Amino acid sequence: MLCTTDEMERLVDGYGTAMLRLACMYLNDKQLAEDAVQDAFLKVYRAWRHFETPEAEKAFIMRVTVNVCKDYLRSAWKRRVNLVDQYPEIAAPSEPSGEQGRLYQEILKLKPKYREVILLHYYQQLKVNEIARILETPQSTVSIRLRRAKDELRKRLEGGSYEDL
Amino acid sequence: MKICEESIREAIDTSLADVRLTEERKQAILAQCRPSLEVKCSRRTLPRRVLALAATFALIFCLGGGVLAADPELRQPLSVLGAEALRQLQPINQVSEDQGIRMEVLAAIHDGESASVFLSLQDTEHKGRVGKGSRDTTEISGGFAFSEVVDYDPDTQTVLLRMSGDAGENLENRKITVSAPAVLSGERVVEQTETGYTLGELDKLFGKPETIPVTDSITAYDVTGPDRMDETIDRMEDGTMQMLVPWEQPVTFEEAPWGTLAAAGVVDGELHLLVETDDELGQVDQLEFGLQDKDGAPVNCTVLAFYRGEERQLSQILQSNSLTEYVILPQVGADWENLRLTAGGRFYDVLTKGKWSTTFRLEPTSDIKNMPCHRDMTGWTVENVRLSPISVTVDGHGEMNEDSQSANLDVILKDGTTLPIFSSSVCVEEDGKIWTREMFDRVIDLEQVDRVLLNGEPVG
Repeated sequence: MLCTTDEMERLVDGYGTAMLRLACMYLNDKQLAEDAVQDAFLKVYRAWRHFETPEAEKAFIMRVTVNVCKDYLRSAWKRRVNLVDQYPEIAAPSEPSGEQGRLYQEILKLKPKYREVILLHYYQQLKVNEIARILETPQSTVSIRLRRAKDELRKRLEGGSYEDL
Repeated sequence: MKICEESIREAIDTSLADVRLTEERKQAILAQCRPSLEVKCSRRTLPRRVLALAATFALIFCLGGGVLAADPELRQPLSVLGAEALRQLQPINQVSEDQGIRMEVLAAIHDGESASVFLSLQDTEHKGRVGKGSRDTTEISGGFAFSEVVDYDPDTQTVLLRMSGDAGENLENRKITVSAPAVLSGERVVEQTETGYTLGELDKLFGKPETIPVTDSITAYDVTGPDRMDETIDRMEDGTMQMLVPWEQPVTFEEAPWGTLAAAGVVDGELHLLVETDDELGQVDQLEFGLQDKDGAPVNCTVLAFYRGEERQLSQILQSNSLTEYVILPQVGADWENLRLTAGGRFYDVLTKGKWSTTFRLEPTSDIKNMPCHRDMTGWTVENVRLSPISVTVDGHGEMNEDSQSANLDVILKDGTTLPIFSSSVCVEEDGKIWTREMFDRVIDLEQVDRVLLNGEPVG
């Protein structure tokens, strides 16, 4: 079943920017993130169905976005990883406030598997079971990663010695 | 600062406040999701590999054309394809010329999901920039639509190329643009060849170099070789990998004037080689290193290449850096006196920069055969096999797991031969759709096909 025009417009208006920011933090490249979001919407359009709740709809859309981003990361001929030095490109031109800016930078420094659970849970407000389905990972693993990532962020921001996550 | 949902969300929102979906991108998305409207999208697509001649397929709307058999003038340059193939092709005859090199899109065919385009390149100034090289084949390759040389006429210095693209989208009623920013010739693939040095000798020769941590100025990296891949990636991500400081005086290579050795040395039991390349052939030549033992047998190792220095972009998909640092990581405990450094790669003689672009409309072929079937592949199911003059596609659905079978297709012709495959791709979509496509190395008449085998079993 295809999505109607009005519905697509609602989805793009409602989720487009959130998907783009999620993709930016996955791919570290704004232009690539825009392409990924466009691909994700096309997949959403082709696979569209009605969801019982807004939460289910959101989880589906985020799952599509995450998987498109992962496909982009995997799709190089050899494994190519863009490193942290591209992050300033996607940061806001205006300097965020000190603590917020530090927290943002520390989130970016987390390894992808910790960063993605932080983004999906705290930023996209998805539940652990929804994240587990998106990442195709057991719920217990998601919970552990969330706890470790959060503990690590806390330690780094408090200036203590920390584990390299 | 309290780490909670609110603080994390605020930190990301504030830091990415300027990252928003633009109106232009929104309209492109909406247009793409409404097949009846014109699609205008500016896209950058990840390359499947680094290729020499960049060509892009941009999709807009279409009207139809004829078939090639009705156009005797076109049959001449394409006669090498054979009468059966000619009957399937639609004449295009679009020309683009720049720098004295003439590109003509002669004919094309698409089956709704993939396309093959035949084009000629001719050096009208007879400077040997097209088709000249130590080999007759594969002197020019192109774009994210894979290409190969079909024929070459040394008298007119004209090469005939076939470019095959898997658009991944419905090509119905669309216009196609073929464009290129450069033409290369004289392609040579050099197998790994001994440099004449063991790792032990290089260690003594270069000694301990000056280094800095890698986290600064690296744009990307590649790792090949499974042995120490995970450890290498971890060290790149956590910043413990070191990189070389360039020498004041680089070492030049007579055999490779496009590159110089900017620094070298052994760091933490790894050989580092920093190569600087120019912005001409240095942008397209591909250098690779490896190891072999004293008997000349290849030795497994992990090779890391990270990209530094000035970023260059020849085209949408041809990007390079002025500096590449290669790190050769032998297996732990290996004897450096018995490991010899090898080098090889893909190189070109001539690079001509310019601008070639043609746009044409393409009607899909109606010569399609669908063969419904129900094949359990463990985790996913094949539902249909689709055959066209240029490709065979398996359509299915499900969820692939580690026990799942992959779909291997063989198209057996009536003369008993198996149709050679030019390229293949696999796609797993979000809604559970799975497809595998293999493109042929030629255009065929479906009447030539005797049967199609899926994992050795007949289909349909």
